[in-house]
Amino acid sequence: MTLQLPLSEEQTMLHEMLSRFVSERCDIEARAANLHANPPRRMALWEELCELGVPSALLSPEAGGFGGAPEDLAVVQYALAPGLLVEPILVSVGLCGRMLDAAGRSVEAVAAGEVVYAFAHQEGFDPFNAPQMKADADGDVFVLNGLKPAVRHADVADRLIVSANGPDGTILFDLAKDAAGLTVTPSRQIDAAGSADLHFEGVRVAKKDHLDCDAEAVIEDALLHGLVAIAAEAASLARATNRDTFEYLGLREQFGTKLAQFQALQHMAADMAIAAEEVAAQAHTAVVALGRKASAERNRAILVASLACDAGGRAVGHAAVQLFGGMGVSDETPVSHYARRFAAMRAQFGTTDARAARLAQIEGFGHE
Amino acid sequence: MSDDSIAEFRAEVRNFIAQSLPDDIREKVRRYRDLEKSDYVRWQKILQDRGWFLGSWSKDWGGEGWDPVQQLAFLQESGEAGAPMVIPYGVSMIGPVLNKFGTDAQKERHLPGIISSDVWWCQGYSEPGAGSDLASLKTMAVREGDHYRVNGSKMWTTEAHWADWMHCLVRTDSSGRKQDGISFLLIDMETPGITIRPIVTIDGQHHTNQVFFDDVMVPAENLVGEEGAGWSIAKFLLSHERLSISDTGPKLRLMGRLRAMNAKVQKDPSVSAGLKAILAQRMVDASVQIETLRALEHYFVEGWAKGRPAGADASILKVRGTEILQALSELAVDLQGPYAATHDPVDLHADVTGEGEDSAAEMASAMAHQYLYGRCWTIFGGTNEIQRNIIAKVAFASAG
Ligand SMILES: Cc1cc2nc3c(=O)[nH]c(=O)nc-3n(C[C@H](O)[C@H](O)[C@H](O)COP(=O)(O)OP(=O)(O)OC[C@H]3O[C@@H](n4cnc5c(N)ncnc54)[C@H](O)[C@@H]3O)c2cc1C
Repeated sequence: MTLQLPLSEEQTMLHEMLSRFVSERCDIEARAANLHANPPRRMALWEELCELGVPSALLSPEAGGFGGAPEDLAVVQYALAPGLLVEPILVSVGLCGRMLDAAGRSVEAVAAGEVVYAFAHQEGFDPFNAPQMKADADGDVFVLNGLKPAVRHADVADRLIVSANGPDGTILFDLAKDAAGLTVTPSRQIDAAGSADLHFEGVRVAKKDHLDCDAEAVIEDALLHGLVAIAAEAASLARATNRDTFEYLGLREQFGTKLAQFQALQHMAADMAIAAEEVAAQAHTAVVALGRKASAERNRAILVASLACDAGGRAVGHAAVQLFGGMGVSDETPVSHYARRFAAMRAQFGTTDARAARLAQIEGFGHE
Repeated sequence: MSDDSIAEFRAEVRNFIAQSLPDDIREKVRRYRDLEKSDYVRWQKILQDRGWFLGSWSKDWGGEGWDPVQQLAFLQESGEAGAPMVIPYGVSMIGPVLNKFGTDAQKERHLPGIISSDVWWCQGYSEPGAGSDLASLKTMAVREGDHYRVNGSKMWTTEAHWADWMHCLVRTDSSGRKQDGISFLLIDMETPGITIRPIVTIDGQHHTNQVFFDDVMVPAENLVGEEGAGWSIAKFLLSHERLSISDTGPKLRLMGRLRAMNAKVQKDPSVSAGLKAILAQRMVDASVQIETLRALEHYFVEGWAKGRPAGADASILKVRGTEILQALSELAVDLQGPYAATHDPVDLHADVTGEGEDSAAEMASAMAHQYLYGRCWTIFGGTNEIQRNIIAKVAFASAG
């Protein structure tokens, strides 16, 4: 059962199907072959994910899917986590699809996987800050100028949801990646996913291509969904990391005895087990909180959970690498990739420090 | 050496590096690139010309006979000023071993290449089944006439792909105590039967390897010391490494980088006061840790000069040095803000000779590399768990 959540029959089946997909299709060597190719094949599993109906699970019936609830998001993230996918399923469908739907746009092509979106929003440490990138009105168009740094999946995306600071506050745009004046500089993320810097120099967008919605609320909702998604992922990954590590400690022998016999290592393993339970409990809390109406309390609960999941997940990842010894830092060992995925999560949807600062603000711990 | 003359020596090292470190290497180090073998060779030759490459070798061996205080001064200043590290496998490991245990013929044959850095060495100790428990190593060397026939495999052999020679621990006897059946062999990497399999590590780079021996015939004259003396020779060699372990120089340099990065964030009007306060607190923690490491290192070194027993000092430096490096590198990554998850291993090899500074993504890759490779430090050179076993043992012994 995913995070002890009350799941429907469909959700349970989805979980089983995706877990099977991960064990059959996401082995570490095939992944390496795809990602070490030149250029890397970062969409290798995309079609299969779409055929399995993952996009539909992430979209509400109104948007043409059959899910879209926090539990659906949790099931998808939890089941897929050990597969270490670099495909943009969460961002393109789970976040951008959701935003398009909120603005009354058709999500059909996104749901079918025919069009892939990236979310070009964060500029500094904290994506909950309003964007500074300029959107100046000029007759029937907005003119965009500025930089969106290291936008995850922007290398493989066809289209972008871009946030900017317009004449009346934050605006969201739906934009083709090949728009004139937009320069895409690809980069890579620590978990091998792709990204790109997006330089906007006088990019002209028709006014009709802005998303007709309460942009600030839609962005916040997307970010919260993102944080909950990686909390669920962290819980699953911590579990997978512990499973691999504890199994290894029971197999590997040094000094004529199994590593699992060393008490120092037993205590490290115990801390990992504790951390994994904490991460699971907080991921559960976050999923439940996401189902509530927007409120400061909902934000607080999700921020707390995301900080706890980062701390616990990262501790588990570091300890696993250490307990595997040299094998832990080998590219051929899955835990070395789990640790890198934890490092990536720590910086997704803002850095951990930025989340901590925001929590301090909500709690009134500081002077602001 | 007096405090004054040490201060003078430190200034001399700094000046020398300012004047003699080739610009391209300086630039690579400053920008946290991965260095090529040729970069290390070039720098080591420059040090040798200056008379500092053999600083820690005794005068009998043709060295400078630096005491630990002076060795530390050199290491710290070089590291902080951005000079490449001296690769230890030759000059710091096999060189002292040959000086102490080698035959005249072995010295004659091997020392000149080590001293000139023209012959490159690697260290073949660990095996797939023998890491922390090194004494259980299984690579067999069977005497056949005037050769040893070597079969087995070495694991994690760093820079084996650069090496001309390996100093290798092999098993020549399986009958008695495990340690007593280990011998110390010098193996020419060109010998037929040797294959090298690259191992890519968590940082996405190829530094280390697995080396296979398939009926490799090694002349018996390449045995160092007696058969069965390998274990005690290896222990001698590792005790020689005491000082380079905490390696504060590069950490001080990384701290300098953190200061610069943090200063930039603190000036950024788009960053909230709350976030600035959190980062400032983390900078304070980092600063206290690195200064404590530096103090500890000085304290130990001065203590040794005054007859302080080495005890578990080297283990303490290893644990703290590596864990502090990890803490600094984690902060270095977090300070990248929107680039905090950016890491492309290819960036570590990007050209530095042209105009212009690194992009934000390239800088982030360099810091992510520090973070990822930083995970290796608590594993190699005796894992931190093994070091803690030693520290506890010494601490309990001195209490009882
Ligand atoms: C990047 C890299 C470069 C290296 N370069 C070289 C090289 O050039 N030459 C060379 O010979 N070797 C090299 N090594 C090997 C290194 O020395 C070993 O990895 C190290 O000794 C640990 O051995 P292991 O990997 O087999 O781990 P293991 O010994 O299997 O350890 C696994 C875990 O068990 C723990 N453990 C083991 N025994 C105990 C115990 N008694 N009590 C408590 N905990 C214990 C360890 O601390 C670790 O956490 C390198 C390793 C790495 C990662």
